[in-house]
Amino acid sequence: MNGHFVRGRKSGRPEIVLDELHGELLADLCRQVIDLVAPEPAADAASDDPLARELGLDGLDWGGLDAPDTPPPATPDDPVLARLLPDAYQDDPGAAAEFRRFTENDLRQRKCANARTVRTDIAAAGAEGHIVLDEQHSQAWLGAINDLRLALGTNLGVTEDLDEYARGLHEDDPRLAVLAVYHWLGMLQETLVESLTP
Amino acid sequence: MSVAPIEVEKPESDEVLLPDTPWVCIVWNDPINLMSYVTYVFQSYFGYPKKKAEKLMLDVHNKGRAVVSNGTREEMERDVSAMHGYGLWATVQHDK
Repeated sequence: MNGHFVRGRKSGRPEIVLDELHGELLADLCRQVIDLVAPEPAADAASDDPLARELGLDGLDWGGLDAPDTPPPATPDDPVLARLLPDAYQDDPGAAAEFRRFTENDLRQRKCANARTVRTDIAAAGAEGHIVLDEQHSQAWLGAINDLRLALGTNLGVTEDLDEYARGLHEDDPRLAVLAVYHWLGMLQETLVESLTP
Repeated sequence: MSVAPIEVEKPESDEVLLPDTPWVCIVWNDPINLMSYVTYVFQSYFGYPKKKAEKLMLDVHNKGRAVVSNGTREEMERDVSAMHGYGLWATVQHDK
């Protein structure tokens, strides 16, 4: 179970041993996803209000409570964010924007919570790096690893045939190192799914 | 004992109570999501048996998209939201 999941004989749950290098790598990637998808901070007006600050109201998330004339959030320009937070309607920008207004914040929070769970589990495993996932944590890890794959895969511009994609890269191409991580995450995800489905 | 009202109040709403026209949740193919993971999501979220989940996954993979559920608009928005949570690329569409 070094670097990949197995179904524990005794626990019946997904188990993994992550060495320090892989644990730190995974935790760091999760931090990057959190930085990327964390809900936007509260409106500037609230942060500038000394009374709100004193009452601890600044920095609160008022998502969904904004005035009705506030324009709904647009499809993100960043391709990774657009993939993590996709439009729910393909041919109806108005409906897509309304859906985003009411759900995007929650989706961002769910993704952050998943990534935080992975970081917490890695930290709690300490030097030994042995992690056993219960049902709830399994779901968080599945979601978080998948988000990492979506982020890296979108940045790399991968195609379905990864071997072909890799052959198209020059041996000095820095994307090869990212591709290796992407491969590893795919193996993590695959073995996690396997260990959840007897 | 109460006096019969002179005017019977009529419901204000002119909503017609027709059954909701079905909406669908569509999952689109992408080069990143693993086939095993997509099958797992269809099994665990929708509760589909493995065979049905695999068939839907293969439809997504081979045809580029598949209708994975249908129902009211609200139900389909809930499914799409869940699919986005899993990282699948899904949209709501009116099934005309």
